[in-house]
Amino acid sequence: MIAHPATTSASNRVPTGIAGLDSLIQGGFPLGSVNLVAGPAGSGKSLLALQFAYQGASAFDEPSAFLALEETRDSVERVAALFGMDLKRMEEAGKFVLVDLGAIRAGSPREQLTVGLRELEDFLRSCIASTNVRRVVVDSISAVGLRYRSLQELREEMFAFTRFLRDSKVTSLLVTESPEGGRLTRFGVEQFLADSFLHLALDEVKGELRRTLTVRKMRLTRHDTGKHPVHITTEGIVVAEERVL
Amino acid sequence: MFHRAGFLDRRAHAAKRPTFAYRLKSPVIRLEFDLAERVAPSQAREFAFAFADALVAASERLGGLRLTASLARVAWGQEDWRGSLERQFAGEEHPRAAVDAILRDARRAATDLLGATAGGRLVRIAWDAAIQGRQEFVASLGLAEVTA
Repeated sequence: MIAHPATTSASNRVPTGIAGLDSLIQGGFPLGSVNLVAGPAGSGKSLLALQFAYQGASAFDEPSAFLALEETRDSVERVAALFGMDLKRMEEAGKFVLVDLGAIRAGSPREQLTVGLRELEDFLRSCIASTNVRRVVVDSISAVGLRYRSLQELREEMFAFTRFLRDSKVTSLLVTESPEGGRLTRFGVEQFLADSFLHLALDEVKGELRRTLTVRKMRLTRHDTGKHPVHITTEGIVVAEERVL
Repeated sequence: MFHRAGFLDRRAHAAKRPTFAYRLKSPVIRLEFDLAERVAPSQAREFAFAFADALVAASERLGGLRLTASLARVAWGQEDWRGSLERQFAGEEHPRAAVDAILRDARRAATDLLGATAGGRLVRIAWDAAIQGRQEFVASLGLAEVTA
């Protein structure tokens, strides 16, 4: 496959800053693209997403917003601190926005506990305008999908949401879960609406779980298609260069 | 009594016993009654501060100190929201109007920064916290309920 010339130049790529990943995807995500990372519990998808946002703010001068839909601010801050990410410093510098949208839903009726995609869009529209963020992470859209009664409705809403993200000229990363032993994504439609799809897996090797990453899809990119070991180090996720055989 | 209220001029009147002559200050006497203003300034101030306090606490849980600072700045002109609210009450003759302005500015700022839905929810949380134990006061003031 030949990559689109316009997307191979460094200025049109958004580096993730995650060790070993950018070299698999021609230097980073396509500028302004909607990207998806999926994986089962414990595969490292939230950490990968957090690193993408933090690296943007700290290493690439791209203000980032991290929208936590299932975790509290406190919980995200604690995870970040474990891997040497100083979110408070970045927030004070105006380069990082950490939002716990669940915080304003506590005490709501059961049917209103989850955030819908229109609400997310409504929030992001104001957030992007007032903070000038260039990277957006939503962790996770699995929670959002619970609001919809049919897959058709979810797909339509998600189509509109991804279109909004592209129109907003931000590079986004959406997190979704992979159900155990079945579909690659929670609802089976997310990967068709995103421009790229990273899949994290937990493979059992000799009675031990090993994390891996595969770039299953990336538009306008000549990407590596192999399965690569993933290590979680004190500095976060590291994608190994060698392939899993 | 009318003299003390400022309607009449009083002058000493020459007589064996001390008496006074009274004259209308103006041929027109204008009386105004604000029947809606049934609120003590201290109660209004207490309610407004409870509302702002709850709004700030909820915004901190949502987006941390940076969001809180932005919200206060957009709503009331500066991050020191207490000082700003104090000045609003000091410069406003009618406490009810001050409360209205504080609620209106909070709604506008929350919507600008967070969008209509999330902003509305944030304001609603603050409203619910502020009216705890003050339902009678809120009803007597005739404040419109803040809805998400």
